[in-house]
Amino acid sequence: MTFWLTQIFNGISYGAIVFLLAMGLSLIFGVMKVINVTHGTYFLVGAYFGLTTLKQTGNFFLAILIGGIAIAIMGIVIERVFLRRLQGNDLGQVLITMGFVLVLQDAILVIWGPDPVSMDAPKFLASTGRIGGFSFPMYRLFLIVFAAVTAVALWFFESRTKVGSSVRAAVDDVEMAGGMGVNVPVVFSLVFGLGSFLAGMSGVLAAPWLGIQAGLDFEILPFAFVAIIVGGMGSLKGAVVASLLVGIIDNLGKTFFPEFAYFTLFLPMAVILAIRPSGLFGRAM
Amino acid sequence: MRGELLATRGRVIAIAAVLVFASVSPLFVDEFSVLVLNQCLIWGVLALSLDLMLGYTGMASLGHAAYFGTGAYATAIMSATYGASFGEAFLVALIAAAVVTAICALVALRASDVYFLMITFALAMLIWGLAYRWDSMTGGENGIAGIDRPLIMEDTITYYYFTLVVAAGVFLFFSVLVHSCFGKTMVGIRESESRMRALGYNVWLHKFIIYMISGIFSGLAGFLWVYYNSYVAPTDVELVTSFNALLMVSLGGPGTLAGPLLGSTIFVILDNSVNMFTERSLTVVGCIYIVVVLFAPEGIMGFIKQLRTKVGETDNG
Amino acid sequence: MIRKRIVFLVVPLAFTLAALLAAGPALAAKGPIKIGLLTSKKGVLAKHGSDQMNALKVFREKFGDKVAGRDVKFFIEDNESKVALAVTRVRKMLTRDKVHIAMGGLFGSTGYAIAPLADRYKTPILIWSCPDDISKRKRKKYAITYFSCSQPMHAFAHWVRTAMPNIKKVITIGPDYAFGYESTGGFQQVFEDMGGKVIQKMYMPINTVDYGPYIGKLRKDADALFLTLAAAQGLRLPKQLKEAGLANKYVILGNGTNTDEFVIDAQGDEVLGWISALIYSADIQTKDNQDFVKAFVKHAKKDPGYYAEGYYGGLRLIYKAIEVVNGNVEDKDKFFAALKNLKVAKGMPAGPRASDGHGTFKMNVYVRMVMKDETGKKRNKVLAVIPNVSQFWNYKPDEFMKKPPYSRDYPPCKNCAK
Repeated sequence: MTFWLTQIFNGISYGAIVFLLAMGLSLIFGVMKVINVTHGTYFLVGAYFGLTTLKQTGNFFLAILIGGIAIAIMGIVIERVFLRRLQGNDLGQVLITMGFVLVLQDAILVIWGPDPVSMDAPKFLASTGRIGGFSFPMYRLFLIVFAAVTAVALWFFESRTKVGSSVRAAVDDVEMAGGMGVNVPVVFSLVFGLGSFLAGMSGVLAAPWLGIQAGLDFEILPFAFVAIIVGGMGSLKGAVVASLLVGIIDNLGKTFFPEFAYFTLFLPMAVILAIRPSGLFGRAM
Repeated sequence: MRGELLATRGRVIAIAAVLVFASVSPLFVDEFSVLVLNQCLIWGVLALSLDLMLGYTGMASLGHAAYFGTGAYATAIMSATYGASFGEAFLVALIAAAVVTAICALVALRASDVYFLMITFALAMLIWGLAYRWDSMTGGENGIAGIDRPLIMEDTITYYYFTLVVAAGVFLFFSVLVHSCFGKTMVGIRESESRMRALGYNVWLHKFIIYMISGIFSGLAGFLWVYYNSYVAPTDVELVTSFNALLMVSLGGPGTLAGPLLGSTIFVILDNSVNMFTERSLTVVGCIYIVVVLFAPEGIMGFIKQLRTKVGETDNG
Repeated sequence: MIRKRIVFLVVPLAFTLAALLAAGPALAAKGPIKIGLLTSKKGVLAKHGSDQMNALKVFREKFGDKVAGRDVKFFIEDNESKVALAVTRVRKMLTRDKVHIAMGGLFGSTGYAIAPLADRYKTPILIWSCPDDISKRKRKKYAITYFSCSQPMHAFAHWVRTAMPNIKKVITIGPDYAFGYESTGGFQQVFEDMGGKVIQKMYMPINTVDYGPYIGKLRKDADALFLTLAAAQGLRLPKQLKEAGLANKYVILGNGTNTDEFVIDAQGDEVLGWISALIYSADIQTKDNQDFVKAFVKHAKKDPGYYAEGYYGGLRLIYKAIEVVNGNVEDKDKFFAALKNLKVAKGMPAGPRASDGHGTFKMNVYVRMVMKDETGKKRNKVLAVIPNVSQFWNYKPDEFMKKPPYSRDYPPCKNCAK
């Protein structure tokens, strides 16, 4: 029983990080139809920004915020200056995001060096919690709560605010939204900024748990892609459900079929792709 | 009419010049140069196959490393694990590539545009996952080492000539293909699928066939690569390989046959030389991606075409 | 119209340019001695590579670019932490730069991939990573290894059984490739031959992000964990063991790479008390080592680890071999024979080396424990030195080599079933 609890809890907490990363990817794809390969690298650069902030101020929560904001600014600049010119050129947009991956990876080497670094969470989050015979890392619980709060906030933003409804309209149909008086360029910047913010923030959040090291970007990115492919691009509900699935399946897969880690994750994805290319909650194409 | 004839003649001359150069130059350069030229040819075959889909038919695949990798792994497994001969490995590699391509095509062709990109990308991730984790078959992270060429092709130059013949064959086949009726249909699909459908063409079947040809020839490139490098690892199948292939096509000029070859040549040479001049090779390659996308969407061949039109205009004026 | 034809000439022109760029300078009759060095400056092994490059600086500072009266030229290639690229890069050193000897390789699997090139181009390669079988069953005519991955682990298992007899049941965890199999296999072989039991074995992908599922599966009835961590694993697994509340539940043993100086400063206090073994520790108290550490710290602002010492030591061996043949490296057979039969007593930070006649060297193995020094810095304190360890440990080489190589399935886990 405890065994199962532990595995499911671990799965959910991993799903929480995957959700924060995937949600940004999903929004960006949903609205702008950009496959943003740089997203994992945003995650990593965000972690480095958070690290620098933490070193300067000692405030972990400020680090999360700064990590997010720095990447949001970077994302908006990239969107405004580069991606916007390539609207409608799907392939060009993907290729250019790959270009930014390489440039940013190199920038990391230059600015922060090749050293692997770790980041400490505040003391009260670094302990181990206990309920009966079930013990769990506090930090993982924190991640789950944080992701849940973010999901609720995003849901509120999407369904209850005017800006949010423009975003939703843009997900459904950009041209139509433009016709209805939505300021599409602003929505694009907003969405890209928000998506990048989530990526940067999740990088900082993951740092105390995964450490920060070159290569982390491409180690975590596949999970986010699986989540948005399974969940459906642009769907908040889809991202929540699929991220949890990814977390739990990955956990149980590694537990029971360690030789087929990754495959246990990719196979369901392939099956869903074959049956429903738009994902569980995506709009049919 | 006369112009077209001349253009064709020019083309023939150019092809002959490249061929002569490619067959004579290895005799005058050092072994490493032959190795680099050999790489150009192998990646050229991959880029050509990708261009058939991307440039001629307008199907952008973000996962060609999968078919390349299937060919490569099938070759390596046959040769190193089962001790198969060169010919046997060749057959199995192509069959494996065909099977994997067929399955992927069936799934991917249900989507179009950016969703097609996404699905091909996801499928390639799956193949990578298999290469990385199907330990008993692929050696996992270790990869498969010790793949030896048959004795007659053992030395670098002979294998180079073998690759050259194969690449020339592929080029010839592709140029016949794109100039045939089938090729015209491909371009028609690129320009307007709905019009082709209205004209009574079975668009899906055409796309499927093109996908198959492209995948099988990518597998062929994988086969050539394994015997070249005598080693295969999951990094050969990873995302970056797919992207590099796309970059080669975009750099050279999609929708042309010379473009992919030119693109792969430039890319391979850069890849082998840029770190001699700078530590910042990642930035250099990254900037090439950005510059090509922003300023040369039709690649070098497109640039040349533009230049030619301009020159032509001044000629007439 | 003529212009059209000119346009078509662009393609052949590009090819010509390619060849010109690629065409190398003719080989001078007897220029400098050329040494090719393979490292990783990008990707997951970037830090290991930077330690190696700093070690190279220290080496050149001390020994200069001259040996046996001849100049030395170094050719450095970066394989970006990719094994497949290592093949291409080493091939370049051997065919273009025409190096007289090459050294390098960071992953164990890199060693297996590049070893065949040594024979193909009849050029000695000192394989720096530790592929077991290159010095055992898959010997090459022109390749030797710096050491063998299982070599320190045999000795370590012996030490554990002797010094910590209470540790009877062990769980092994390692990365899922050659290095993991060989490190784990070496430990298990001797540990079980001496009456210990390995009761659970786990191999996981090197790029694993979340270790939760593996940690959740750990059997509670073990006395110790034997870990082999590579690259980023050393950063993640300790943290995640700690947050699961298991850091103090088991004694933690393992390969020295777990807490190597490339990563120890980034690790938290959870690694305090970890015991590991390897062919080096920055804490070795000999003068040779203290000099090396001092010089290294000057460049790198941190302690050298085994990645640094190994590069320095490897170069030292190469220089020694060049001295033996009086600089005549052009006679590759003699040069390689000199390297293969080398015996170096002094000047190596990690202690003496002596050829074992089987393609690698006998050397000291250091058992270390992570402790804080008076300044609060974590160090790999040396607990014991096991001198002159052979890759075959105390087994007879012939009999040893009749057994299968260490792999995912060998040695089998006899005691794994509950």
